[in-house]
Amino acid sequence: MALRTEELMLNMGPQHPSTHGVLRMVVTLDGENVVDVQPDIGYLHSSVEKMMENRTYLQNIALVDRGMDYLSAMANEEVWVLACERLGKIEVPERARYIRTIMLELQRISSHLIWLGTFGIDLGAFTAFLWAMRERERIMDLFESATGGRLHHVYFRIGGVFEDLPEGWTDRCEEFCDYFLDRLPEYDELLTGNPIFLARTQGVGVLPLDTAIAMGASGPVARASGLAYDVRKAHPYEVYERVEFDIPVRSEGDCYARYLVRLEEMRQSVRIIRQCLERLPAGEIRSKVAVTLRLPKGEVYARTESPRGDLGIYLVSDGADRPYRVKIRAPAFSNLYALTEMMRGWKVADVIAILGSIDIVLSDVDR
Amino acid sequence: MSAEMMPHSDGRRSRMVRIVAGLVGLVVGLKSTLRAMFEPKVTVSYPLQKLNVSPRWHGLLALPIDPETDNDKCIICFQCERVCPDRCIHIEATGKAKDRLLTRFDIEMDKCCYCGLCVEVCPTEAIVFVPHYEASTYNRANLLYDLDDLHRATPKEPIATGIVKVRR
Repeated sequence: MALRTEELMLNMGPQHPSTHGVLRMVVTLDGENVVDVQPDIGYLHSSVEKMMENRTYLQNIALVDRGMDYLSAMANEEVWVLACERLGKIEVPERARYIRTIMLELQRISSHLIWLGTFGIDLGAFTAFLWAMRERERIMDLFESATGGRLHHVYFRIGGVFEDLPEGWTDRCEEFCDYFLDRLPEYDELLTGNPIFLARTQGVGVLPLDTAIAMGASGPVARASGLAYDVRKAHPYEVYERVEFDIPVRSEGDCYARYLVRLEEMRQSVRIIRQCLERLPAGEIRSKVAVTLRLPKGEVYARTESPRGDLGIYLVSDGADRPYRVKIRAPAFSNLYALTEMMRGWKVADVIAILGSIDIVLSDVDR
Repeated sequence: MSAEMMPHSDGRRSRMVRIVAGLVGLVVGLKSTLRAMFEPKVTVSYPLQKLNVSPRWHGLLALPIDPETDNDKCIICFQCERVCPDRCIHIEATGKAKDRLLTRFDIEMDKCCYCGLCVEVCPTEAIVFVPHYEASTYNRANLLYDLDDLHRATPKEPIATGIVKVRR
């Protein structure tokens, strides 16, 4: 006689150390196998979009910093000022555009480092976390000396950046690039060659290309599934059309491919930073924009490649000094919904590995 | 790993290869952690050692006293109050035109998001950031900084005490 079995509903989160924030996953288990996963979000909802309607365009820079993806504040500032500049047809000085590109790429490295460390912790490799933090600290120091903030910078302004780079900053940045490229092979030694890491990531949580596209996945998650799409190449902003870099693409679509794509992206970021530092022109860093800026009536959609993927802002203005409506297209939100497809059929122990591999930030998901 | 991914033919040899590769991977990983053990430390023991912050550091806000006039430089233009995204600055003044006198300048530091917009718009550089990063307190009321507190927060010396280790 066959043993009668039942499916088990298991709540993971919202207070689970490995959910990277307050995410509740309702996991349906058949024994140890995952039958279904339903992510339950909204625990960190802060209604940023509504709050933005009550703040002026300048004040909103301080809000998108912390209201959205807090691990890549510069990327949020970038998409917001880009939307405002496109709607108001505001010129940005050349030097400011180079500085912004450098900052964005530094932010990408720092965000990927956090991901690398936490992904290591999810899989039981603690050393990688400490080392990633060590490298990230250098970037934080660079940010601190240029912007005054470590996580929340409020550095970009509509029509430029707040202040010029301090003296000697470019040398320190170049120093960091050398240092970082020296350090990167250490992660290969620690993780890429580690048999436990390989066994837990290779072939795990495969996201096929068509599913990735159907679910709206973007960024490293989509590129690890074989989608060679990067907003920096497809719709260049700032100076991305003038620098040379490659988009790392893998076709496997598993956790290991997502890991490799992000590692390679960090190398490409260093390449971009070096080119920008080389060509950094002198001159103005900010064009004259009033504190109480009034944008003309109209609407605009700006999109950027944040460390997590395709980050967009749809901005509607009615001619007042504050936006009429703002809609944020958060990359982590779309990536999170590819989770169910990735997890189905895997063991419960793989749930955390797969969740860790997509790099979500809950404040970006919930907004 | 699922069963069908493992090669069925000559499974024994592939297992040996995997064991050897695994051992090599472990040795390589342990080698780099061992190397890190003998590198100089990158951490500081925080309450005893403190790091200096950059000159642009967004720390606490202050209205420093100008030694020439023996008063702060505020001209009561209300720009910082207007630009503050969190509306945490409250200014009141008496008198008219040139005889205006600052009667209230409160900053609710618990609301402040350290964005620095008030410092940016100030026409006389009256409101500035000081390199102070330890503002935590047991009492929420202590985070309401009035005019006296803001005058006192003038950076006479680096506020970080203890053995200050200079950032490389």
